[in-house]
Amino acid sequence: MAGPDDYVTDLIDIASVPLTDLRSLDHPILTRALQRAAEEARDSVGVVAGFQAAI
Amino acid sequence: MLKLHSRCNLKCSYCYVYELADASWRDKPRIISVETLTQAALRIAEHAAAHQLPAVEVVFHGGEPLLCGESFIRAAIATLRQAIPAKTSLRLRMQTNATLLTRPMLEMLREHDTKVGVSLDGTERTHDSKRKYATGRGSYQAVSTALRLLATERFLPVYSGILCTIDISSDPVETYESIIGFAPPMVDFLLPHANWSTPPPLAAAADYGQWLSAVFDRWYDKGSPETRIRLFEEIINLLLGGQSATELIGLSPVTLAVIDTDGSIEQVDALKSAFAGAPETGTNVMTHSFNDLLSHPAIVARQIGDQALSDTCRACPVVTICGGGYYPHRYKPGRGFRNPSVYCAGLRHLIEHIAHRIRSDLREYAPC
Repeated sequence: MAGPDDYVTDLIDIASVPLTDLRSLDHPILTRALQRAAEEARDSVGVVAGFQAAI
Repeated sequence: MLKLHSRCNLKCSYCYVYELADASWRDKPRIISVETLTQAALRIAEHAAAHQLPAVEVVFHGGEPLLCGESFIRAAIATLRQAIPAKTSLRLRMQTNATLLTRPMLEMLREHDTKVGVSLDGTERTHDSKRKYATGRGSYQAVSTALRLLATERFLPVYSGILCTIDISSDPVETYESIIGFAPPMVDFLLPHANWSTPPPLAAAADYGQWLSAVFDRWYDKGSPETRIRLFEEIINLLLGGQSATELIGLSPVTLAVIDTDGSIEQVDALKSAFAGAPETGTNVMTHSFNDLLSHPAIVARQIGDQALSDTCRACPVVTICGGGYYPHRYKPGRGFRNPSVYCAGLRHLIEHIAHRIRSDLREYAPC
């Protein structure tokens, strides 16, 4: 069962997790999620086209 | 989202188009005209060119889009492909109840690289309790026949996934397992349409969080994924600091517009569950560009992240994850949409459950 501290929902800082080899996780769902988060951080996904101009 | 046909051959009990507050479908053309379709394609192309978009996605929707017939859909695809600039990738998809999804239709969709998403609500018993023909007969047999065909090797390239509206009275794991029996690449679980004047059906909002958490555990504990579940993947991504790629959750700007069969450009269709006329913007592809839509107050509200949320939401520790919940679920008569989702308790339960599972595994697999 989860303890009270586990229910403080905040962003999980993936930079604090020393994942030198994602394959060592042996959990494809989590591995894929970490890869996606890392790629998004690198590419810094933008806002909808034209919105900045519209406002 | 491009509505090709405004009518449906099913009469689903929860349908936001035909069974809830908005009856505007009665005034719409049954089938989009060639003129409107051509103009819609030109507007999409205009927007793609103006903003140098690398890709646009067009989802054929309805009503039931397959009521248009194979030759009409083939012509619609050709119209869009002809209009969209060469530098923009056009991704085509169709959301269908699959009762008319025959092999010739699938061959045509495969030939034109148009992916297919199918609505299926779990087991035969659950599905047929809601998704019926007007005669009262359930549609499961027809849908399952089409899904078995879609899941064959020949049609896998155009199999997008399954969309399931949650029936809280169903068993969550049984529902999930009946769905993955059709080998969908992706599953979308949708909360039934509800708001503060029309509460969630049959159970408290928190119960929906427990239902989804049970599905999450079944899916996540398998380790090697049997399918992808969009809602869960988006929540995990948000927890890891990423952005959501769906309007169902998170604070990402909404990138969806609906073109109805009369050419009107509207907000997301599900708003029809709030009040009559809720999705309307007063724009039409005949007279307006998509840029015109961007200055509409309701569109702006869905581009500015937490600034558009209620004080309650903005003070909440999970706001960056839930984003206030799905916009139509926030509606309260007299107060508009600046409220927490009517599913707030359920979303919080699910998010905290997933956060706990992810944290635990990161500690276990990669201890700091």
